[in-house]
Amino acid sequence: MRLTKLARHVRSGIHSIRTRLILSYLAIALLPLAILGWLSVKVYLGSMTERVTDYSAEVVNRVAQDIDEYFRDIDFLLTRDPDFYIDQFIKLVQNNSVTNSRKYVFRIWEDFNNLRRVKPGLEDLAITFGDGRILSSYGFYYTDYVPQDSELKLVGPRVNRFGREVVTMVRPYTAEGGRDVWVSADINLERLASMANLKASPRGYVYIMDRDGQIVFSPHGHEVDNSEKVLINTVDSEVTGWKIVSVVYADEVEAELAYLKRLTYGGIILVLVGVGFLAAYLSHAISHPIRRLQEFARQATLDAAAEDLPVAGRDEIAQLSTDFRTMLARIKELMSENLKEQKLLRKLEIESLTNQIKPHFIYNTLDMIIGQLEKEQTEEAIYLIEALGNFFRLSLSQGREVVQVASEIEHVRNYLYIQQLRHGQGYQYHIQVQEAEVLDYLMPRLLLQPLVENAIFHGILPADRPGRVEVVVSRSHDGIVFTVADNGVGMEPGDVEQLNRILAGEAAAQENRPCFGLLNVQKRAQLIFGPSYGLTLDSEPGQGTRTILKIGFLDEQLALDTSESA
Amino acid sequence: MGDLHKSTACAGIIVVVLILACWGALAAEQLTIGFVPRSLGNPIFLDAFENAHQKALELGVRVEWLAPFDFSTEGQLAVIESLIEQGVDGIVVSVNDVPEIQAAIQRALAQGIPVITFDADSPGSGRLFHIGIDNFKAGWEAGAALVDIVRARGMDKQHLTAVIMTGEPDALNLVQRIDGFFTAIGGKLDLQVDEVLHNQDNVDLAIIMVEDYLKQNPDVDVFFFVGGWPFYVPSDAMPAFKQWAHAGGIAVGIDIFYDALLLLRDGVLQYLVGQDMASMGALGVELLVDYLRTGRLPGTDFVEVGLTYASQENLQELLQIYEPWLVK
Repeated sequence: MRLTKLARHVRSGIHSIRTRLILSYLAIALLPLAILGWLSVKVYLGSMTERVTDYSAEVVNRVAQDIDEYFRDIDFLLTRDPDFYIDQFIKLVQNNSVTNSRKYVFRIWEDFNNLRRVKPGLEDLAITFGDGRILSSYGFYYTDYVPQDSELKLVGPRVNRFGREVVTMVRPYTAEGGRDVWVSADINLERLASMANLKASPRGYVYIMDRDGQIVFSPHGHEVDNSEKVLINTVDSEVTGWKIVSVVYADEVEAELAYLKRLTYGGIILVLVGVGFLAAYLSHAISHPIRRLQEFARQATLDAAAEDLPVAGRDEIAQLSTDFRTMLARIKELMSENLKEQKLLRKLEIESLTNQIKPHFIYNTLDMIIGQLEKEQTEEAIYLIEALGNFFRLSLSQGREVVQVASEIEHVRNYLYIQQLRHGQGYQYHIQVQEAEVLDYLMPRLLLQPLVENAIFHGILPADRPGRVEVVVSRSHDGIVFTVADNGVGMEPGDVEQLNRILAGEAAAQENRPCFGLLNVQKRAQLIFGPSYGLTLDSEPGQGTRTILKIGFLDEQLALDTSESA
Repeated sequence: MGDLHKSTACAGIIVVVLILACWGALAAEQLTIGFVPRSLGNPIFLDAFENAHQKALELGVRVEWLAPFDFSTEGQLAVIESLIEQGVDGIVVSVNDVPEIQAAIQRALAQGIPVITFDADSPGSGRLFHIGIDNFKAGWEAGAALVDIVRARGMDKQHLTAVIMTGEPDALNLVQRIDGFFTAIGGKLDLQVDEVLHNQDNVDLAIIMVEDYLKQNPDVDVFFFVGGWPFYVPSDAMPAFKQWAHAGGIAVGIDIFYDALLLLRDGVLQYLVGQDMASMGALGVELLVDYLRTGRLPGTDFVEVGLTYASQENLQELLQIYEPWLVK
C-alpha cells in the first residue's frame, strides 16, 4: 500500500509543473553540454594525439640532431689534419723505440686531455696500434680490442678500461705511416643520456638503437619497457646510423584524456547542479504562485475566503491571481444573485399559482357545475369538470416549472372556457397560433393566465358589453411573442404609461393598483430571460388593451436546470 | 749414412720443437708491469717513462704507463683498480701516503700483485720496497745551499722571509724534503715562512701561482721549490719571477732537467738538487721483474737513487749532459 501510495506520489510529482520545469531546464542545459563535452573529448583526443606525435617527432629529431652534431664534432677530432706529434710517435712505436718519445707523448697526452676538458662527454681519446698498444689520455698501455675496420665504426656500448660505460667511435688513422693504426674516442653514456634526456611525456623516454637493433642507450638500462602500450616515433641519426626512438605511454595520453573527461563530467555535473538550483528557484518562482492559486481555488470551492489569497509581484501569475480573485468574488456575487433570483422566482411562481387557485374561483366553478347538474346539463357539466380538471392539472404540471407552449395554451384555453361559462358567454375568445412549431417550444408555466385574467376582469367585464379576448402566439427571431388583446374598456394613456414604467421598474406600484399579476409575470420573465424580455402594454380608452409578452427560447438543458433549481 | 741423416734430421726437429716450446713459454710468461706516476701532466716523470719502457724492451716485458693527467687521489685509485682488474703482474706507483691509496695497494697485494713505490712512498701500505731519492737529504742539500748563498750575499744576519711551493700536502717525499730543508737552515738563518703554496702537482697552476704571489709580494727574500713544477718554461714566460730574482730574490729547488738549468743560467734560480727519475723508471721495472721471475727482493725496502746538484759552477757541464725536452 505504501509503495502504491509512493508510486502515486511520484507520478503526481513527475507531472507537476515544477518537476516538468526542472526537467526541462536540466534537459536544455544537459543536451548542449553533453554535445559540447563529447565534441571536446573527440576533438581534444585527436588534437592531443597529434600534438604528442608531433612533439614526439620533434623530440627524436632534436635528439638525432644533437647526436649528429656531437658525433660530427668527435669525428672531426678524429679526422683532423695529420698531427706532427702523433705521426712522430707512431713512427717511434712502429720502430719499437720509445727513447726520446717524451715530447711527442707528452704533447699528445696534453692535447687529448685538453680536448676531454673542452668536449663534455668525451671520456677518452686514443691511438691504437695493431699489436694492441694504445696511447690514450690515460697513458700508454695495452688493449685486447684492436679495431680491424677500414672505415668509421661505432662500437659499444662497452665498459672501458676504467669501468666507465662508453660508446667508442673509431676510424683508421689516415696520415702517413698510419697503417694498422686507429684513432678512437670514447663517449660516455652519461653524455648520450643527457642528449636523450628529452621526452614527449612525463613518463615517456627516448632510447637509442644501433643498426643491428641492439640497445645503445635506454634509461631503462639496456632494455626497452614493452609491458605497456606505447606510441613510438623513430628517426635515423645520419652520422651514427642509430635509430632514435621516442616512447610515449598510451595511458598517459588516455590519462590526460581521462582528466579532460573528468573535467568535462565535473563541469557538466557542476553546471547541472547550478542549473538544477536555478531551475528549482525559477520553477518555484513560477509554480509557487500557481500552487497557491491552486490551493486557493480548492479552498474557494470549500467557500474559503477569497480575500485570503496573497498576491505578490507584477507578473502574469500575479495578474492571474488578481483576476481569479475578482472572478471568484463575481461568481459568489452571481451565485448570491442567482440564489435570490431563484428564491424570488419560486416565490413568484407560488404567488402565481396561489392567484390562479383562488377559493372563490373554485367555489364559483363548483357552484356552476352544481347548477348545471341540477339543470341536468350533464354534458356541459362534464365538459366543465374536465376543463377544471385540466386547468388544475396543467397548473400543477407535476411540479415542473417549464412546460410546452402547447400546454400553456391549453391551460389558458381551459381557463377562458371556465370563465366564459361563469360570465354567461359575455365574451368570446380566440386563440391563434401562427406557427405550429412554436407549440413544441418550452416556456415557464403560468405566464399567460394572469394576462388573460386581466383582459377578462379589467377589460371585458367592466365594459358591460359582449367582448372578445384574442390570444395570438407567434415566433420572432429571438423568442416567442404572446399577444393578449381585448376590446374592453381600455386605459387612459397616462395609466398605460404609468403601468409600463412600473413594469420597467422605473416606478413603484400604487397601493390602489398593485398590479400583482402583471408584475409577477414581468419579474418571472425577466428573471429567466433577461431585461430585454417581458411585458409591454398598449391600450386606448374604450378600444381595449393589448398586452404583449415576449420570452426567449428555452433549450432543454436550461429548462431542466430551471426545473431542478425550482 | 742413411741412419746418420735420419738421426740428424730427428735431432734438428727436436731442437726446433724445443726452441719453439721455450719461445712459447716465454711468450706465455710475458710479464706486464703497471707503472703509475703521480700524473701524466708532470713532465718530471717522462725520464722514468722512457727508461721504464726501454728496460721493459730489454727484459721482454710489457709496461703499462697509466695515470690521471692532473694528479688526484681518485684518478690514481681508478688507475690502480683498473690494473688490478686487468690482472697485471706487478705495479709500480708514486702516490700520496693516504688511507685510500694504502687500501688499494693492499687489495693488489691481497690478489697476489706485488706493488713497489717510486718517487713518493707509501710505507704504511705494505708495498714491497721503495725506489727513490733520499728526500730528506735532497731537502737538506737545498737548505744548505741556501745558507751558503745567503752568507755569500752577506744576508745571513738579516731576518728573511720565505715562500715554499710544494705539490700535494700528503706526498711523503715532499714532506721529507721540507723537513730536510729546515733542518739544514736550522740555527743558521732567521728565516720566516710567509706562505706555503700547494700547486696540486699541476705544472700550469704552479707557474701561475708563482707569478701571482711575487706580483703581490715582491719583497719576499727566499723561494724554496720542493719540486720543479714551474721550471718547464723560459724565464721570460715568468716575468715577475725573473724580475724578483734579478732584484735579489733567492730561489733554490729540487729537480734538475734542461729547462730548469736554463733558468739557472738566466739567474732566476740559484741552486738545484736533482733526482734521478730515469733510474727510478728503469729500476722499477728491473727489480720488480727480477722479483717476479726469481722471487728475489733488493734486500732493503728503500732502493736509493743518487742526487745531482746544479749551480753556476757546473752549469755548462750539465747543459751538455741534459737534453732539452721541449714539452712546454
